[in-house]
Amino acid sequence: MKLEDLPSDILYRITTYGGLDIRSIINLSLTNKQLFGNITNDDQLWRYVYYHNWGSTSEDYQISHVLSSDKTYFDNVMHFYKLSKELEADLKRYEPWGNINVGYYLNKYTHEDVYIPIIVQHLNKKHQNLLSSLRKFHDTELTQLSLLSNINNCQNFRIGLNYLNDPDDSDLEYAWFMTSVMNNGSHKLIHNRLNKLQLIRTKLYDIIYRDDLQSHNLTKVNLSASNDLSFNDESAYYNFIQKAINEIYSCLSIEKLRKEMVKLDISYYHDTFIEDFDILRVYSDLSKGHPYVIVSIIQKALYEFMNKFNSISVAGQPITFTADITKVFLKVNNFYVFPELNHSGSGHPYRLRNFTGSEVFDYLRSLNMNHMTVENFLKPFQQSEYKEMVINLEQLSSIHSARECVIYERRPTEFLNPDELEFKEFIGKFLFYKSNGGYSDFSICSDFERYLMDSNNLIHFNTLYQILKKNNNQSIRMLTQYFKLPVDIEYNEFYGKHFNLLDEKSPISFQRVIESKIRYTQRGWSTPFTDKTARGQLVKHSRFDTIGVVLGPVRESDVTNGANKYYYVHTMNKSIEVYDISALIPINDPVGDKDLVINFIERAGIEIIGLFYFSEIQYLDGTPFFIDIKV
Amino acid sequence: MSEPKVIMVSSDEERFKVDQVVAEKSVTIKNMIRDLNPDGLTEDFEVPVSTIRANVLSKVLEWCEHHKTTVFPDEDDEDAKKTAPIEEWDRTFFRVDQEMLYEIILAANFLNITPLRDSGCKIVAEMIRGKSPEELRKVFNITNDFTAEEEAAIRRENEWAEDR
Repeated sequence: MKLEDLPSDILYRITTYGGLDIRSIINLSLTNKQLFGNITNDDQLWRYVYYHNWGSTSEDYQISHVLSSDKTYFDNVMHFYKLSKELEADLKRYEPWGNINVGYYLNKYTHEDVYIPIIVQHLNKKHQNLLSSLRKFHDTELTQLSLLSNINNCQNFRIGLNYLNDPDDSDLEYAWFMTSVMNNGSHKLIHNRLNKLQLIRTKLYDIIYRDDLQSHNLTKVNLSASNDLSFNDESAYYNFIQKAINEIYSCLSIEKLRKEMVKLDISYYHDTFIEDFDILRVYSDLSKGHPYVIVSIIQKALYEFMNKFNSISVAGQPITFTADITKVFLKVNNFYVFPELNHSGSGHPYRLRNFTGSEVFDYLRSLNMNHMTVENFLKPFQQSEYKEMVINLEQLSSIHSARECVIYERRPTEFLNPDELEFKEFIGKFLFYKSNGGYSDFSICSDFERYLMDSNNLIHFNTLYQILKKNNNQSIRMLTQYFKLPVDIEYNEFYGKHFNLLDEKSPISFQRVIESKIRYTQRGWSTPFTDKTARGQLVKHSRFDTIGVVLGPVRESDVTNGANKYYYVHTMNKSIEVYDISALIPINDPVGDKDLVINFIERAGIEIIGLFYFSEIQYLDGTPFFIDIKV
Repeated sequence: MSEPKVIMVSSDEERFKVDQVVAEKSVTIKNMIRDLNPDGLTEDFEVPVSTIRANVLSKVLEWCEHHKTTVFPDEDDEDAKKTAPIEEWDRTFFRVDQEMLYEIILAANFLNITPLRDSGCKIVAEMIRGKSPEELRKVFNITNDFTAEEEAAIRRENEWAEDR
């Protein structure tokens, strides 16, 4: 027997279980006619190859349209592989502060959905390489991963903002999802969403088969043949709905958060923070979730699950399953659920309170609400109201404690820094003014300029510009005048030609962002970092425990207590702080904490460090040093 | 009285007497035993495996004996199965000629011993990975039956997969 005589299912397993790369599979097909026919015509195999490399990301992002349905999987793989190779070749040409800088990639790779799975594929690979290299204390290149993070961020921002600018008729869960994607949702968190929804689905099927439910009058389930679900009576139906809802909520375990809670103020459990509106963090068990977010997940999961059945009947009568979100409740047919804060300090943060139709009226009336208000509370949300809610969130005007949370020093996990929060507010304003005819004055221009100087926001300028152009309101004219841009810039030539990030005279450039950052840290104006003393050293603040990387000393003229006493430090909170050198402890040998450097990079933001400051980490006698990007 | 055994009979009529736990590494045989003996085995149980030669069956049973207490990843967890590395013992076990390697894989497939089949497939994949068509022909003794024109044409069509 020879290799080519093996049956196709075995050949399939060799290529898939063996994890063969595409080139190896093609090379095998080129050896003789039989293998060529068996391999190229096996669409099942190419389907696997597609999903293994790109399909799972396109599912995560719900962009299945990137797969051409009129082509075979083989042809689709070929298409994606070519694009992937193109990006790989382009990555090799990257010059962080040269002519082929981030602008080139923002022009080319951030406007079409088809690049998303390819960017994520490379991002995952580079991220794995970074982890394995740093864990071995090897010198590690940072800029390519930084670049990929930035173009991934830019894509996320584009699809989220486009959705919120012009939402379709999808459900509230999707609106939260898109908001979260827009707000720096990492591809890992995005991936967790479908995993969690799958877990919920499995749990819901378990309920159907569970004995205790069978004994509660759920009399007949036929999933294999006619796929009908029937209940003895109404109480059996609502009993099932109640159990299903509780099961869904129990899947949102916030386990990681609870572990950290030991060290935290218990008020975190009860207050609402902006991260509670980040649905991806809720799916990833990193946030307790706001009730609006919780009910949107329950609604989606329940709705999708119930729609898997051909028909649902109660006491022999067919019923139509409905699940709506009102201002306060999730309403399933005539059954209401309200996530109420659990003040007991243990268990889940919310207790799901259930009401029947008449109970809910009585309950609301008991709160001294008049009839109109009660009606208003029970009316299902319309699509336009989803957007309004999300915009209000972005403006942060209605969120208790949102501002305080950013100065809370011992956050359970990495979270927004003040710059990111302000940018979110700006986006809220941006969307709000869109629906009201655009900004009426030049304040949009100074707002743009200000926020683009923060963090790595400059990567989003083209996206914002294109949306203004699409909305065609007066703001675009003011903006183009202010930035001295032509009115009609094509999306793929925005950076470089019209907006040169290397040119200090350009409205936004690398240099100007760095300088503005330093200016913002209140120590007065200077040309930053001309003195390289201690630059690149990883340090820890003796009192705050903050880890950071030294950018350089504050100039003598800027301080009163003598030269080089104060240093600029880019911290793990993504902010630049001025620290007294006597409070800084150099991190000389991180061997004791293998992941210290990795944790620092992940929290400090490789998209910022590798874009503006450092190209590499080198270990000198076991001590990590960040090496400057070559200009 | 000693435990009843399972007797597996190869295509060339050789008989292999093994413990039930060893034979039940094969899901096919396990199901057969359960179906035909719902109360458990009370006497030796003979199973003809007429598609597998004695020398192959002997190798397969050697693997089953070695792994009789090994717990493998969940049968339904495709990802875990794909990412599971090949054990060192299995690598040594698979140091056989190619024909035997394929026959073990086919036997494992027939008997539904998925960890053995998957390990074998991974071994073959390792032999394929990173090789050019010419190298693959040599390693697997594949006859090139393309004409020169045909080969040039399919090479051109598949240039997309080449490193540039």
